[in-house]
Amino acid sequence: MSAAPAQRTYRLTDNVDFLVIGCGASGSVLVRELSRNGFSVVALEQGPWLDRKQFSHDEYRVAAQFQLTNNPQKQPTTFRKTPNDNAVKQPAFVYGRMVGGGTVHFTANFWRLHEIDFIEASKIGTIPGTGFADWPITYADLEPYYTKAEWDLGVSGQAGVSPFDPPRSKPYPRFPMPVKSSGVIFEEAARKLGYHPFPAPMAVISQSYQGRMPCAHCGFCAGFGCEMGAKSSPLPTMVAQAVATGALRDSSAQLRAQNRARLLQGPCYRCCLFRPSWQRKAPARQSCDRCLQRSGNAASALNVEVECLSQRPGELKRARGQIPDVQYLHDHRRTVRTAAQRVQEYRSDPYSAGFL
Amino acid sequence: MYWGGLTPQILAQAHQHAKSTPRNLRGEPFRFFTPQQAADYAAFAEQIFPTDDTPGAKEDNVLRFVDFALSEIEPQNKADFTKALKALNERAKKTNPEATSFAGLNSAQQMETMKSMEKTDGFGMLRFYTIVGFLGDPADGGNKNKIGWDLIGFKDDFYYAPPFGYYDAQLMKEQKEKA
Repeated sequence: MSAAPAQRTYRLTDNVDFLVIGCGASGSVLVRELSRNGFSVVALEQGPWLDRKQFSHDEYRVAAQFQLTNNPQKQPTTFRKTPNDNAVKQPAFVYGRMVGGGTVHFTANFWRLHEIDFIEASKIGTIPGTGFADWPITYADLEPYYTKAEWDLGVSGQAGVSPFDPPRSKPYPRFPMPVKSSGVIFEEAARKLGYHPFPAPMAVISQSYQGRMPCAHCGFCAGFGCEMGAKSSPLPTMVAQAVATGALRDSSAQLRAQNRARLLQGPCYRCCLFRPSWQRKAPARQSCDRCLQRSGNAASALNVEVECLSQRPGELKRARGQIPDVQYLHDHRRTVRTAAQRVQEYRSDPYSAGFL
Repeated sequence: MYWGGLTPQILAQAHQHAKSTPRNLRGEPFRFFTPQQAADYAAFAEQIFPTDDTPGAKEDNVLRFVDFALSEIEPQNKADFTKALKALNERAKKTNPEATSFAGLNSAQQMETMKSMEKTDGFGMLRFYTIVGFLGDPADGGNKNKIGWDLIGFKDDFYYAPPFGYYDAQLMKEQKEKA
């Protein structure tokens, strides 16, 4: 079932330059950049490495069977308000769990932050009791990287249509996705209310790009993997390019199975498994010379950190205050309405209209 | 939540089976259902999707999906499912003391029985599998000849070109006329 192409493999006893934990949206970018620059890299990923041919439209397998996500029953998240409460299981986080991470099954909306978003604290004030602050960098610092990401991944959109768009050094690499019936209705309603509707920037290629086929408008974007490879997730882009260098070993083929096996016994995957100085027993480990990079999502990065620290008595207590106690999780709003005529909304990407 | 756990073994199995038609599609005996359970669950599914002027659960092969899912994909749910069917029969006997099974009740009594337990987890599980079987991917054994999809106006053509619906077609027409 693994789609791992032939590539250089490292033994567990080999030292590598970089060890990347989590091969999702950020990990895969890191892996590509490092492997392109001649470093040896091992990426550890808790989920499977799937090929686009293994994606399907089968909702029973994908949604009901957690084919592409973590399983809240196997990896439960618990919550308590005070240390005296009993932790209660709750299905708090469901995230993309595979090589490529959440961006493999995401809806593919690909927005840039605005200039104001970086300096909100100084513009509108702080919030008492929180650490709410300006970013240490500004939009201008980040702009070249936004552009690089849009062109490396392949984003479809129309620059300049939003009057509130922050300055950009380059247009989008591909035309926006076609307007759907829901988009036409949405646009009319938004204009009436004085908003400025426009085609949303989507990480889906509307025309072929860098040898990848364009979107077939099958409609199975949100929650599904793209069989066409048209969704610009790291899987057909970053990961494929990193593999092409031959410097990457995806450990998901071998180490993933071990991670999953341990996970079934109880704890989540641990970077300490791969840190010789911390471990008591002798599970598989990979040591690295230079750097260990955590690239997990909001939920699992924290999980890994706490797991690691809990291996060393006393450390967890000392680390209190260093572990973030505030997490940012993304959210979105939907509107639902009926239309007089058939919209056939199931066709093409479901969230291709935006407004400000 | 009746969604079973996913192990690498199950996932591997799922992939293997995704490529082949479920074996029990060929009219072989059920592997999970006993004949009595099959009769009871068929009656249940046909109350949710009755056959009238449109086809229902019977034509859609819902039972084939459930049998396939419980025997191959989610064997861990077998016990709960059996328990739910047992509860259905117990309720049936409360509705009509002379009845020996849910399938033996008349339609009105079946409906009454189902209404009496519709807040329970067992009912939710039975209903969940009926709906998934009716509208799920035909590769999993239900939704025979895409009956379910036809009823809700969904096509799985994989490739579509604009216009996708009425309103964007109108817009394209207007733009063409202007030009």
